[in-house]
Amino acid sequence: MTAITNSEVTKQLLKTLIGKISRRTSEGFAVVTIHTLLKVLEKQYSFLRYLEVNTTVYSEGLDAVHVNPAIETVEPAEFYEGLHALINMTVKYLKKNADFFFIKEFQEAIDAIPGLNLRGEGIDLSHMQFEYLVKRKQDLQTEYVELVENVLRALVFLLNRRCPEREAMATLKGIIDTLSMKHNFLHFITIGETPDEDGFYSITVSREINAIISVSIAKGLQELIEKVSHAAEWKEEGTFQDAFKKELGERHVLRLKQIGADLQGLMLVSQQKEHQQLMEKTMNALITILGKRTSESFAVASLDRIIQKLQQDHPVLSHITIDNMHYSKGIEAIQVMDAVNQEKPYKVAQAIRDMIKLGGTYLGRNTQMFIEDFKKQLGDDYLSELGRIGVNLHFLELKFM
Amino acid sequence: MNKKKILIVDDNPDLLYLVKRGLEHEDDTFEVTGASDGNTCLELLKEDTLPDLILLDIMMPGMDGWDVFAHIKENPQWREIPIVFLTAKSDDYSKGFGKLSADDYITKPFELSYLKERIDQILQR
Repeated sequence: MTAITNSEVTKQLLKTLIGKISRRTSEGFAVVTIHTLLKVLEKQYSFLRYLEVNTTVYSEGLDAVHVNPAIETVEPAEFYEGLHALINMTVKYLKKNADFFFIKEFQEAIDAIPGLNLRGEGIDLSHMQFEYLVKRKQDLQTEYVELVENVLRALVFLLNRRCPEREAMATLKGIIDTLSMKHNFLHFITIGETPDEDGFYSITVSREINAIISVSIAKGLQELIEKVSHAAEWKEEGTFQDAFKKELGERHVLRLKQIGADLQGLMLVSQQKEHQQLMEKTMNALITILGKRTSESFAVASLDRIIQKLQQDHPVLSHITIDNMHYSKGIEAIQVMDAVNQEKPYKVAQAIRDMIKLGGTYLGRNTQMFIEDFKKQLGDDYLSELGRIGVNLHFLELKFM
Repeated sequence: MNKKKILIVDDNPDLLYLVKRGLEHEDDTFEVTGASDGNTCLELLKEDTLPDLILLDIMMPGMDGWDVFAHIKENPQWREIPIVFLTAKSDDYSKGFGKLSADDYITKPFELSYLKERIDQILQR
């Protein structure tokens, strides 16, 4: 038997529950959640009506839980069954907010309350933890097989838009074979090289894949998608990345994200810009913006000046040559050497950032407009490439605000 | 004593006269030559004696000041001549990039004493 009263048990338990939920959400959410769940369970365990959670006045230090002394008359069997149901329902209700650690922390907090022995009363939180883990693992495993299969089918579909299905399957198989040396889980994938009697190519993912940890699957799939994008030589409207996401569907895209695959940061070769292209496009954008307000030849001369000013700090700019005897040739006076491709991305990024920054410092209140114009001129593809190598234009805008 | 040779390029003859008179009258170390357009400016630069500084208007018929600036800077013999934009164009873009690329950017109307002060500062560099 526990040495403390029903009233004390409920008070401590509810306060601990609210405290733990608050840490993951907010105190308001926690109080409202417990209040709602108590109302739901009241129908089954009538004694729960003796518990009142004040949803309007709550904040640290204020006691949100009130217990009617009548609760002392409740039989222990019913009392603890009701509390068990409340804890169970809370975990289910919170879904992803109630992770493994939620139950663990809750158990630790409860264990620290003197005289309270929930396990002795049939509430085994360790067992709840175990059940949670088993269920979570089962959920994830089922999803892996389905997820990998769907990723592969989406990739075949996109490859098939660029070549016949037989070739698409062979390409995918080739890439998987190559990558399987690095990503073991790819051995669990079987790609049919010939169609079955109904004319379908099979893609089978063995359930053994379930034993692999999510981060390995995420990394492997990410690389697989990158390689396929390269092989597809994507030239259709929109990016390969977008077409892939569309084909895969929202649910699986979300799942990929959850296991740690970064679709935004995919280094899709078809989209990846070389530094040379990026520099040229940057120069072009600057010349266009400035040229519109002055003249093209002045814009080139001005850019030459900017580069001269920055070259000492950014040797990477030495790969840009401006024919200073022919500014009037406009953009054609500028040449970006392909040696810039050998430079580290962060060095290219810093140089580009400082070019924009230097221009911005002379523009006073028009700096934000200048950066906005620059973004428009550069276009989305190059803008995301700039972001990828580390040029944060938004941050620059804020700096000049 | 060597005189400070200033070339002023502006399509407004009144301004050419005022600057020439103002600078030379105030300080006999100045020698001011005027050019009423960009082409004349470039022709004058081809002559033997180069100016120590060029005051350059932007909005001129024919070749505007931006292009004149680029032409001057693309010539290795002229590119070291300091250029000061002297213009009514006061938008932030022109001012900003004018200041960044040239030696100074002065907007009209201006005080003659201020112009003289800026010229002296630039020539002393």
